[in-house]
Amino acid sequence: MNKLNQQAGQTLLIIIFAITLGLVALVGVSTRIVTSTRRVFIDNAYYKAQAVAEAGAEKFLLKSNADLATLKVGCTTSLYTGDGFNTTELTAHPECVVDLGESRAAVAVEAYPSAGINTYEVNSPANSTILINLLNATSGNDVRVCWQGVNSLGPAYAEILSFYYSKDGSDYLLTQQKHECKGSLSWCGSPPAGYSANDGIEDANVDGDYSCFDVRITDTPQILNLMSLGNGSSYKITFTGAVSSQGYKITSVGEVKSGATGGGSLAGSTATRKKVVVEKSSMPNLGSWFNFAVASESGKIVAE
Amino acid sequence: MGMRFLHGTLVFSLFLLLSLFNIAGSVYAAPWFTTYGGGVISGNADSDSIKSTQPYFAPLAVFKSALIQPGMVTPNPTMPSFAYGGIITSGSITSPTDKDAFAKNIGVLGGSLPDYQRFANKATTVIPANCDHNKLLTSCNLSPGIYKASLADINSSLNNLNTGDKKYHIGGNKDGLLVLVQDPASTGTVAINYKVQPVSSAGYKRLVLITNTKINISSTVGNTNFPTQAQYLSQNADIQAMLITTSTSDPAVEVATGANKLKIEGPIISKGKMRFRRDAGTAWPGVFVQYNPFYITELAKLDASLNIFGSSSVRWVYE
Repeated sequence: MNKLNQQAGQTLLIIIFAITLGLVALVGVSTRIVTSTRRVFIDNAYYKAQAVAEAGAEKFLLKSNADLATLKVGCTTSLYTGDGFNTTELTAHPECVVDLGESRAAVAVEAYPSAGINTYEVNSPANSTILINLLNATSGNDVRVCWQGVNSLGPAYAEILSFYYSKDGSDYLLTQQKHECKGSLSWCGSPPAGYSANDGIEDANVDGDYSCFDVRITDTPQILNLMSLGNGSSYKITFTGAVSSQGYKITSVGEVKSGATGGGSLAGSTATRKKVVVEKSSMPNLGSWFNFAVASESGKIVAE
Repeated sequence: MGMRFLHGTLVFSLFLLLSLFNIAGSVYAAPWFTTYGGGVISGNADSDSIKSTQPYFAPLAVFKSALIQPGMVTPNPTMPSFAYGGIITSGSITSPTDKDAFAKNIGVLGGSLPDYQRFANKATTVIPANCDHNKLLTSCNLSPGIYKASLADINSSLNNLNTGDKKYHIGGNKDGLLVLVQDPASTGTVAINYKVQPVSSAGYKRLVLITNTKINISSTVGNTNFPTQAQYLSQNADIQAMLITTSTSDPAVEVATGANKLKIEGPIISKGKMRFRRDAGTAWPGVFVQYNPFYITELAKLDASLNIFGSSSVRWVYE
């Protein structure tokens, strides 16, 4: 009898152990499923938020500069905070919202460079020009142009033609200069094959690995056109005094709506809110042609 | 002995003949053209892509530093020796120094000419209903903007510059450009038969003409009177307009033969070849292109709001 009871007790223990083991396994699998499902939700939310943020930025990039100037008034950074959208502002400015159904983006437009920043960074390929807006720059001050020649392999030799345009009374003026890189810089060595360098003025200053020259702002400043010869260049243009606007900074914050399928329950978390920032120059790439008196793209210019 | 004498005579005669040709070539080096305030640039890689004789010994030597020839085998001794690669520049006329002639060896340019079709598409400024399309440049008094017009209307409007005050009129009292884009549907040649000059008015005004056809500047446009150098530099150009053509015909821009000195404002921009046939003698350039910085300055402002050129730099930042 005792032996029988002992066997029954052992069986019960085994059953309890098996049930416990099963429950643990079940809980483990369930947790894994829940975690996986949540991850899918988060991934969905991430991609939807990213997608709508990019869609918002691209939609505003397609707008003309005139439209962006108008939108800048209402589409401010008060549309969103670190915790999410400001629904009052969003309701007041529907023109700043891009809605994709389950997600939406609030798009803010600011002047670029942003307030308090006096340096503008831009790149240009070889033999191309970039336009720098100088309207409202402080006359009498210098605009410092720091540049580094670049090609597909990294820093490389280049030269710069600078064309400073200003207005004196009713006359429009051009001051032009060719600049050679500071010889002490490592990338300022040998010009590319087929390019003969010289006849410019060697820069007097450096900023890190950048060669620098100053453009004196005289009269009423208009524009600065920079043309990179030999190779492309990266520029850092620093204003002293007033900073001329170079374009627009477009900030698009995307968020999955509350209750939306696939991530809606996560609304408010960082996973469902993504930000994309685009800096768009308002100055056109007019090409090299306009800096010269006579220009032909492919033909000859002949006096005969 | 007789043969040797004859041979010597022939060699001497040939030398004399060559010397005379050389002298004659130097003295009668015209026609030639030059620029002031801006260089000449050609995307053509040929060494002689820009040809203009340079009478450096001319009595009116004011132009002598204004042109550097890219194709010269033996450079003019008074010229800087960096004239290769299809680019020449004007220097300071009053004080020519090497640093004024700063550009060389540009070679093939990046980018391309402005997109003509894009210009045409953006030419949406409406011509007022009461405007006679034959008088776009005169009685219509169009405001600054970008207008599309047929070639026939452009040519008749240019011809009407020979009537009334013989000046073109642009409305408003601020600085501005009147951009006329030839309607791509019309074909032919733009014919400039009279001076193209703005009427004196409030604000700095200029005309930009954009076409995909050949531009002819007739022999009647220019001056026969020869003022002093200073007067010539300061007087208004005969054509105070910027001309752009995307034509590849030969020539795409032609200044007809004649003795009139032609002074024209630059930039003058062409996809194809330009032929300047004007001959004003040795001392004066047949064609004198004076760069006017107003055009690029105003085009930049115009494009900042209209995006005519369609390209501006964009930088993406993900946060």
